[in-house]
Parts: sequence; C-alpha cells; structure tokens
Amino acid sequence: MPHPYTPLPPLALEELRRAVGVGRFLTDPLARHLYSYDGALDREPAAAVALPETTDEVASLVGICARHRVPFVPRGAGTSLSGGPIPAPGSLLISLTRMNRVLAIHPADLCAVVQPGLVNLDLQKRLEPLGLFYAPDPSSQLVSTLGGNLGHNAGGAHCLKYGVTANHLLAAEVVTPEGEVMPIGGLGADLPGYNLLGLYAGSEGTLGIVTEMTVRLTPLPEATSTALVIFDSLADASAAVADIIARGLVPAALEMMDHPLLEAVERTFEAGYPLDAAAVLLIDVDGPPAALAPQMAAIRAICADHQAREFHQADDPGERARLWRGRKGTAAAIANLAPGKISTDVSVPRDQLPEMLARMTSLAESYGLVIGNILHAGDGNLHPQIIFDPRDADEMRRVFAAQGEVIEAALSLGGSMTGEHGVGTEKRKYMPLMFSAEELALMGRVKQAFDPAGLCNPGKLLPDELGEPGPELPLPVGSFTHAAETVAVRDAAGRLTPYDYEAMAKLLALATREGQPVQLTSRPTERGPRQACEGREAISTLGLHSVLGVDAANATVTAQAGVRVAELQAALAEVGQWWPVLPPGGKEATLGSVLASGRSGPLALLYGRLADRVTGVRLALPTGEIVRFGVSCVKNVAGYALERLLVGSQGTLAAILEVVLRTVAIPPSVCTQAWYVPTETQAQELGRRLLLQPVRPAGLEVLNPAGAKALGLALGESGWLLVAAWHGLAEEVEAGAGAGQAAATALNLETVATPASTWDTVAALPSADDDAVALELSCPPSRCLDVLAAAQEVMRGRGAAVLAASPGLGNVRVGLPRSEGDSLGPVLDLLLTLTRTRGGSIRPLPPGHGLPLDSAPAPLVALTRRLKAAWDPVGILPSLTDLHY
Amino acid sequence: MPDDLTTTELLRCNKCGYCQSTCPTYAVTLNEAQVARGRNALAAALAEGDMESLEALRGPFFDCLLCGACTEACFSSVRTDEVMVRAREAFHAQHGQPFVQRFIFRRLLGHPERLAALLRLAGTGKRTGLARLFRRLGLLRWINATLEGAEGLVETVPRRFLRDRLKRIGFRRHRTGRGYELVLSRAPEAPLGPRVAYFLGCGTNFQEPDSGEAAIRLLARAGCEVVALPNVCCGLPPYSYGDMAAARELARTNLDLLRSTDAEYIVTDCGSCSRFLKGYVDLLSEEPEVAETAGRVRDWTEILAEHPLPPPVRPWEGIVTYHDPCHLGRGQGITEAPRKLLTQAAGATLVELPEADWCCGGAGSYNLSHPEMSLAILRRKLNNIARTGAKTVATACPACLIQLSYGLRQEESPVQVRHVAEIVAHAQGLDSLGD
Repeated sequence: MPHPYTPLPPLALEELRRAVGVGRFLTDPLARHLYSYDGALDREPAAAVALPETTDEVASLVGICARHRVPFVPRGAGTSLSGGPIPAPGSLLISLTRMNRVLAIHPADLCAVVQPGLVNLDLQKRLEPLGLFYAPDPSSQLVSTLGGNLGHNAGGAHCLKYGVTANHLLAAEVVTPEGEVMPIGGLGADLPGYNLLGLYAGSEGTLGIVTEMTVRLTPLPEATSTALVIFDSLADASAAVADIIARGLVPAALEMMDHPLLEAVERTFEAGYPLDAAAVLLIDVDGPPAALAPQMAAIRAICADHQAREFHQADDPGERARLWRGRKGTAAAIANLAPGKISTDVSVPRDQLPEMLARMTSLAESYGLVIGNILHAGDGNLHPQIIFDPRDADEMRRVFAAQGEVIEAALSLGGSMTGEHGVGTEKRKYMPLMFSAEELALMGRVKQAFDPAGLCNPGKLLPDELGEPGPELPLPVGSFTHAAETVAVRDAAGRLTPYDYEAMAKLLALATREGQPVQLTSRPTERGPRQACEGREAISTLGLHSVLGVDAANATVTAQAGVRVAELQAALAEVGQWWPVLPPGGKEATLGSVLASGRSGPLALLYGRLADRVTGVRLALPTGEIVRFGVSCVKNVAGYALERLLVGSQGTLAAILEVVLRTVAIPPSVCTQAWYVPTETQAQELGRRLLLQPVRPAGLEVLNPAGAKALGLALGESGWLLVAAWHGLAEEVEAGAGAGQAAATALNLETVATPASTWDTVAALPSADDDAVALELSCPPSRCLDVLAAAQEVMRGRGAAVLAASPGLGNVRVGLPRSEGDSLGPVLDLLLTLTRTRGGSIRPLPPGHGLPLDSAPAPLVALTRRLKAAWDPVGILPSLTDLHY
Repeated sequence: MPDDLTTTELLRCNKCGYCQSTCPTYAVTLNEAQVARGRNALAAALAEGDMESLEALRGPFFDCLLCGACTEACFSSVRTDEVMVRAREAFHAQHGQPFVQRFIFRRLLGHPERLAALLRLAGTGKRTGLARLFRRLGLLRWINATLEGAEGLVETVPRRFLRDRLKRIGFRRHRTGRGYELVLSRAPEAPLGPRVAYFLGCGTNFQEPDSGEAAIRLLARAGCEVVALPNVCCGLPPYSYGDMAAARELARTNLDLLRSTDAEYIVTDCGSCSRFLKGYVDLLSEEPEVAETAGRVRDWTEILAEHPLPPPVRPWEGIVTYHDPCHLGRGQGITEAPRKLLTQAAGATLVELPEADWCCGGAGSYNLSHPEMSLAILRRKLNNIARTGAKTVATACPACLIQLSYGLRQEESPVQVRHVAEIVAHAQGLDSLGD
C-alpha cells in the first residue's frame, strides 16, 4: 500500500504552485516518495516538493507556508546521516539543489559567495586554479551541498588543522521562518550583535533557510606529506595520537582505522595493510616544504615510542594517494560486508580515545555485532560502523541498542553524542542523555525565538520529552538588596560577589523575582555600559577564580569566568600550553569579560576568531538555572551551539560561570618584525604581499604615528608602522619572516625595532579610558587600509587620535581624545559615512556610549529582542538592542 | 518485477546519494527522480507494493542512459542499469510495449537484410533516409522527436553499407566444412596473428561503415586472418528497452553462429556490441558452451594491443582528444588500448579530455527517444571538448560518433569526430576505399 501522507490545504497548494511554477512544484506520489529519505534510515513522505531557484522564490514559499501554517523543510543533496531533511508529516519540502551557483569569488578578501545548493567539491574545483581552497572537506564532499554542510556544521578529514564549517562562515542571507530575508554576519572581524551565524551552523535547517553564504577561503598549502603507520595494539595507536596533539604538532589530518575495518579494506582493495595489524594511522602534514621533514621526523619518533610496527612516508601525490587509498575505500569495503550499515558518530576528549575504543570492542562482543571504527582521531571523533542485514529483525534490535550504548559511552567519557553527523530525527531521543531538562528547554525557547510558529523543520534536533527538571533553588525571602546579601558578600566597591555557581544563580533568580536590574562586571577599572550603570546592581564574577583543569593531551582548559587571562596563561604555561588570544581588554581582563566582549584580538589571523577558541560554557541563567553547553571536544554538533551565541553577547543573556577553551602548544618559534611605511599605497602593497604568502602571519597590524607612540616609537608626523608576527615551527617562522622581509626590502622599507611587549600593547589599542572615545570599525579586509587612510584624513589636525588596523581581519580601531573640547558629532558622522561607503560597520568600545550607531534591519532587531527574552524574560540584564541599535 | 537480481541490488542501496556526483541525467535536472538513488527507491517501492505501477514511472525508468556511471561511484556497486532494464520490462508488462518498438525488435533486427533493404530504400534521394524512413514508418511518434531533430541527428545514410563493401575490402568466399565463409587474408608483410571472427554491429554496418572498414584492414595489417560473420543485431537495443524476450532471441541466433566459428577471437569495433556479447554468459546462462564462446569476445582494440601495428607512415596532424564510450571504458575497463593506438599507431598528439568517461548522451537510440535530455547532456561534453583545443575527437562506438558529430555540427564547430580505427588507418597509410 502507498504510504499515507498529510496533504496540503488546497489554498496553500495553489499559492505555492504559483510561487515557483508548475514544472518546479511536485505533488505526485513519485515526488513524495523520492524526497522522503536521506542517507540514514528514517522515512516520511513530503506533502509536496518545490525546487526554487532564487532567494525570492524561497521567501515566497516560506511566506505562504507561514500564512497557511504549513510546515516546511529545506533539503540539499539528501546525504545527511541523521534524518535532518526528513519531512515532518504534511510538510512542504524545499529542495535547494537548483540554487547551485558560485555568485562571486573575492581572492583579495579570501572569501566566496555561494548559493546553498552548490556541491562542496564543485566549489573546490573552481578555487583550485586560484591557488585557494575551502577548508571543510566532509567525506561526502563530492555530493553534499554547502547549505547542508552549514546545517550540520560539517567537518572532514582535515578539520584538525583547518577547523569545521562554523570556523569558515563569514556571512549569510537567511529566509526567516516568517518569510523575511535577513542578512547576517559580514566580512569584518567581531561584528556587533549576537553571533547568529555561529548558531545557524549546525542548526539542521530549523532556524530558517540559508539562501546565500559567504565562506572563508584558504591558500592551498605549498606541500603535503603523508604517513601511514601500522600498530600492533589499538592502545599504542591511540596513545600516539594523544602524544602528537600534546606535543603541539598540528597535522592537517590524523585518521585511524581499527582491526575489523582494516580486514574489510584489505579483502576489498589489497591496500597493503597487514591482516594482523590492530590499527593504522594516516597522517597528513602540510605547509612550507622546509617544515614538513621536521614534523614528520617528530611524528615518526612519537610513533616509534609507542611501538609502531611500520612507518611509510610519501611526499609525491601519486604515492600519497596510494597510502590514502585504503582509507578512502572504507565505505565501499564495509558495504561489501553486509547489505546495511549505520555509521554512528560520537566524539570524546582525545585522551579518552583508548578507553572509548576498548568499550567499543566489548560492546561488539556483548551484542554479537561487527563494529569497525573509523576515527578522525586527531579530533577525538569516531564513527563506529555497525553492519547488519535489514531483514534480520533481531539483529536490527541489537544494532539500535548498541547505537544507544555507543552514545552513552561517549557521554560518560565527557564527549558528545554527535561530532559531525547531527541529531536529526535519529538521535533526538538521546538528547536528554546529554542535556538537562533546563538546557533543552532553553534550546526550545531559542528555537521559538527564531520560529515562533514552529513550522521550520519541526521534529528535528530537540526531543519531544525534555526529561525531569532539577529541583528549584530555595531563594531567601525579602527585597532584592536584603535577600541578595544573604547569598553573596559585597566587595569594597559595593558589588555583590558570589563565590560559587549556586550563589550566582540565586542572585540572578532573585533579581528576576524582584525585577531588579543587574549588571555583570569583573574588574574595578572596567567601565561598564554607561547607561546601564544607573540603577543597576553590579554583580562581580571575581569570586569565581579557579582554573579547574588543564588538559594538554586534549588541548583544552576549563576555568571559571573570573579567572584573569594572565592567570590562565600562567597555568597553561606549566604544561607547555597557551590560549592563543591577546584580549583587547588586556591581560588583566577576566575570561568571562573576554568572552562577553566578543573581540578576537590580532592573532585571530592564524588562530581563528574568539568563538573558534571556545568549546563550552557553563552559565547561570537570569531565571536561576545552571546550564552547560558544549563539551571538551572540538567536534560537537549536538543541539544548538549556544556556547557560540554567548561569545560577544555583552553580558546580556546570562552570567558565564565557567568556560572550556581550546588551547595550543606554545609555538616553538615566534618572530616579530616591524617596518616604517611612508605611504598608504606602500602599506597596502606590503600588507597584501604578507597576507597572500603561503605562510600567513599570526598577526598583522598597521598603526598611525599616535598608535606607534604607545610602543615608545616616534614616527614623525606621517606614515605608518606595520607590525607582523609569525608563530610555528622554526622552519615555518623562518620561511614566513624571510618572505616578509624580502617583500619589505623590495619596497625599500626601513626595519624598526619594537619592544618585547609589542603585541600586548597593540592588541589593547586604543586604550579605552575616560578621556577618550574608542570605536571599532569593521570592514572587508581588502578595504581595511583604505578605511584606515580615510579615517586618518578625517582625524587630520587631531594629532593625538590613535588608529590601529588589522588588515587581514578587517578591523580598524579609533581612539578619539575627548579633551579637544569641540563636539565629536561631526567627526563621528564622517567616520560612519566613510565606513559604510566601504561596506563596513561601526561600534563603540565598550558598547553603551550612547553614540550614533548603525541601525540593523528590522527582522534582525525583532529577532534580537525575542532571543533576549528567551534568556532573560524579565529583562534584568542590559539589552543588546539598547547597546547597539 | 522482483527477481533475484533486483532484490539483491535494491537491498544493497544504502541511499547515500553518492551517485549524484556521476549521474548525467541528475546533473542536468537536479531532481531526485533522475538519479540512481531515486530510481532505485521507486523500483523498490514498486517491488514492495508501496507504489502502484503508475504511468508517471516512465520518466524515471526510461530516462536512465544505462551508462553505468552510478555503479562506479557506488560503495556497494549497485547495478542500477540492470535494475532499470528489469523495471522497464515490468513497466511494459503493465502498460504495454509500443507496437513499432516491438516490430523493430522482433521483425527487423533479426533480419539484417530486411533492415538493409528498408534503409537503402529510404537512403536514396537526398540521403537523409533514416529520418524519412522513420517518418514513413510512423516511428516519429514513438521516438517523440521532431522531424528536424531526427533528420539533423544523422547527416546521411551511407551509399553502401559495410556488409556490401566486404568484397572490395578483400574478403573472399572460402568453402569450409560448415559451409561458406567470407575471409580476409592477413597482410602479406604482417607477422602471423590469430584468426578472428568479425562481428558486424548495426551501427557500424548501417551508419559508420568507414570505421568498420578501417578496423578490419587494421586487424589484417596486424596479422589477423579476419572472417566476416553473418550475424544479426547483438540484442542490446531490445534489452535496453526492457524487451528481454526479443533480446534473448537475437542473442540465441548469434550464439549459434559464434559457437560454430573456429576463430580464436570474436571481434567487433563497437564498444556496446563487444560488451553485450561478453554478457551473453549471463543473458543465456542456460545455454551450452556460452561461457567459452562469450569468453572469446574481444573489442578490436584489445586485439591490437596484443598484436601491435608498425609505426605510422603519416602521423595524424593536429591535437586529438579521446572520449571513452561508456560500454567500452566503464563497461569493459578498456581505456588504455584506444589511447595507445592513437599515440603509437597513429602518432597523434593526445590531449586528455576532461570528464572523458562522462556519457555523451548518445546511449544507443537515446538521442532519438529523449532529444532534449540527450542534448543537455551533450552540451557538457561539447564544453569539455572545447577546453582541450583538439581538432579531432576520437572515440570507439558508433552511437557516440553519431551523437558527437551531431553536436559539433549544430555548433558549427570545425572539430571533426572520427573512430579511432579511421585515425589509425589513415596514419598507417590505409586510405578509405570509398563506398
């Protein structure tokens, strides 16, 4: 019998058909069946299928759905492994495969603008002749679409070094669940507003439909070297992985296969794996040719320390492909073993891999199943492959039970229930294993803020049952002031200072109960948002001052929000680790304030934006619940990435109690160089050359004479100081700095010696004190020096105005002296105009100065308000819309 | 429909969707109904009774090119082409097979002399006979093509078919214990090579006789003694349309003939024929000696790879690129031999064609039955050809030759299309004897 399905209301049907035309609106039984599946096991027929070709068509389809209360679901190539695009009953399925164009490639800004239906590999093919690539490379890249990659925050074999999709998203155009077109993000660094883009990554098409995306591009590495290492013991192989990471080596890929898989591969391909081997590691290192051999030598030594049986290395493409052949063929090899398989997907902290693998072995035995493991070992992400015959009901029962136990095992080791495949329909029942009822309820409220009618891809990601909520906190009675003082002490400055998480939660709950406005603060010298100070009780996070755990083998650290950056770095240094962020607020800033500020600092060029260096947060909500999002794993796509939303939230959503940060090994070599550059044209040229070099600088800053003065350097009246740093292995740094000096020499530029504290000083420019107004201008990187020069022109005659720019990041900071006596209004207007005409935006530092600022599009403002209300229903914390818009 | 093959193949489809990367019909439609995963899903729904046998299934089932590209991309190597053939058979059983199709498969293809007479009749006059024939026979309704389209597809019908040229090529009647044989002796200067039986494919015989002539003379030059077989159609056209009975009947007629020849190899210059003949082992698995007989089938390029030709006397001029016919390259894994013939025996400068193994959309008579889809698929091929800067496109299958010539003619491109055999024959100094 044909599957039953819920038809669309006739009126909606007609309108939808008109929106795309008869040929691209399918309602026949074939189409309903054809769009009922993805690469996983669940099925549900769509009520109708639309194949739009433009954003406008998507917006009208969604608008019609919203009016007629028809659920809808976006779908790319349908290759997902979790049921993400399976329609809910009665849904319109919106297939985006025909929106597959590359709209623009901007090599100077290292970005491309694409439609969501574009196949990942098709973008790579377009980029290769330009010497560029798009880093996320999921195994499905030859068919999966970039929109689908965004929805699942896809990783890939090379995300160990290059990061996952979220790390490479710059901007997007979204059709909201109400059918409005909303642009988010932008090319500049650290844009104002909530980090919505970070939230869309991994949201599985439940927050709207992305119809256009701007992605970051990366220069192709100069050379790559591959090693295939054979081990006699699984424990040795996984210990070698942890050691490689802990020693600070950053392979481009670090993959592992265990014995059952090796055997399957060998039977199918004769890839040259010994049948008695317990595990094989495949390792890619890339970079400047000179840096490959030392990395490989170090990796080889580590593998030898862990009793590796054989170590094969290849440098030329043909030989490398031969070594990778077996790994690439694993899916085919498994397909040969049985008619069906599921590829589960969990991640654990890297140092827990040996334990996790041991549990997989006993799980396979106790369920009588064949389980082979493919691991993105460097990321702690493993895909236990369970094979079965779908006709064997008993076997299927055992498969599903085993899948649940795989997830439970990963969670018990501090991992995630899904590293990169997503939750979809398949795993949402497991969500309560990973998240508390309060956490799930908050995710539900966030979803509702985006999609009040609940029509956008319903039935995904979040479970139907949230589980039991925890006991409510007992709150003292009485007015806020009275009750609060029974929970926390006041410090010398009169700020309420809780010393544990529960006290913080109680303070916020009290504030919500009593309607008392509060403000989170962390240091005496910090100026809070100006208008926020009046009538607000200050709550200090300085009572939460412990570093909880440094995990070098996993390259993460867990610390409380009141820990100062300097303290954190000291604790990390003891084990040779480092958190590669130079906070603009200075080393004395607390981790909570750094995260809340959302400012990445100059080293984001090499190490990624601030949100990319945070993997988890623990929070106290304004309503008094203590919740946790994110884990100590770099790969985690379970639920909404609320940890990314907190970065840059300016203390408007919740109190950060604790953070989990991604660290790196202290780079063995660091080199800073600076040049005096007389003209803007020369600065442009040198900046361009340095940024397009194969070895990118870790930081690149351009300062005006007033900025250089902060370094104790006198440049004279005009000209610029260009400062660059390189971090890495000695060979990499030598290659980068050497090429940098050669570029400067070619332009006849004069080298300037800079003090040791240069980068801390530069990161903190302009210092925000009461005598100056500090502004941050964001713009496309290629326009950065243009903005800088135009700003300098505006400031002419205001000699003391400090200007600093990060041309690789698209950020210009301006420090305006207030002492001049004249009104700042005209200057601000000029700055605003010059920034906007160059595609940028502007915000005061810290926010809340009451200065004229950019206005955001209406749907964005409305969404921002709803998001805020989802977290802070009474509004006890300051509001971002007050601060920014 | 559910037979063993369909059941096992469909069970192994994991719905991963990787076939989207190689399916030519998906690439131009971006519709799940036009990709192996979708086709298999529909076939499975039909087999499991989840869907009625709707007329709407005609598109998904009959639009498949049977190029086999999906199987290559598939981790489980699901043979969607075979599933589609069976789905078509079932579809005909439900909805009936068009009369004209049935007539051609059952009344004409088994009788080359009837087909030849009809084509000859139609080929007189302006020599645009195929289309006229189709028009006269009312075939156009079946093939759903415009008259202009069909007329444009083949420029002319040759004055003389290959079978009529055998004597001029040098074949002589020999009397043997089994009756008369047409034999072409090996070239006098050539080394001693094997005795091969030449299977005249319909496409070569009726549309591309020059390439057949070239292939035969090259076999002789390489030292082969060539026997011309009085064969009928190999059976692939009815098989493709799901007319299994007609296909098996043609195959059985040929198998009797092939079994009786004492030639060491059975050779053809049509990639589709050679693949289908090799497949008799499955199609007629119940027949005696079928494995041994099918095991003697070779594509002509395989013979020449083992019995090399002398160096060229006038190396082919201008850049050449090579298009892999689906049934030769993917179907039989023969990709090196034709390229080697071009570079060594013809001394040509070969530039590799991007996506050389992507179907050209010819696919037997697909270009007649699906003119629009076929043309959309062809465009990708033409763009790739343009990127090589080649003056000549070489290939080794008559259907591809017809399709590529048609596309380049439409574009008024100066690029010419030749069978590998013609290029090599020219370079070897063997000028066409003309018709």
